[in-house]
Amino acid sequence: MQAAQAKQLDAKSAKEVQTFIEHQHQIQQIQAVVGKITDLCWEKCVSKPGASLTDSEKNCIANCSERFLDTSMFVVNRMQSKQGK
Amino acid sequence: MDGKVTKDSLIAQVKSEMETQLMQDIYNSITSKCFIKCVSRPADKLDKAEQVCLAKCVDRFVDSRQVVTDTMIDRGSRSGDK
Repeated sequence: MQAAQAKQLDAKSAKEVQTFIEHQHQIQQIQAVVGKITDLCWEKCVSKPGASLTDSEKNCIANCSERFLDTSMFVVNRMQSKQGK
Repeated sequence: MDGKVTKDSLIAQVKSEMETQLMQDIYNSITSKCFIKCVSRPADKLDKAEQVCLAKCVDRFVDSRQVVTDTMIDRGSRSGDK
């Protein structure tokens, strides 16, 4: 959709828009990961929603997020090492 | 306005569409998660207890997402210092 409209722009502006869109895609990917982690860690850490998040819940969510990212790297490394054999 | 596409208008349009998509995704997550947490036995309407639970659930889920975001930012800035 934007590609067709971008043809109306001069080359310099079109390039700027393209760079911007690529950057936005990166942001979108990060937001997707944040969403996935939030869904998973919500299940693990918040059993009964209260008037605010307790310190225990916050710590659990923070740890959960970090461990999920560690897990992701672990899986990538292990699968890459298996392919190397 | 003559309807001419400008760089700024395109950028504003992309931002707006992405914002809408993000809100939609979050809305879908919260609705599913909080339905599971708060409506254990669906009856002929949402009772007061369920509504109170849902209100807290929505707010706490949003808070939780913020904790996740902050954690990822901290992690990102830590690895950037290496």
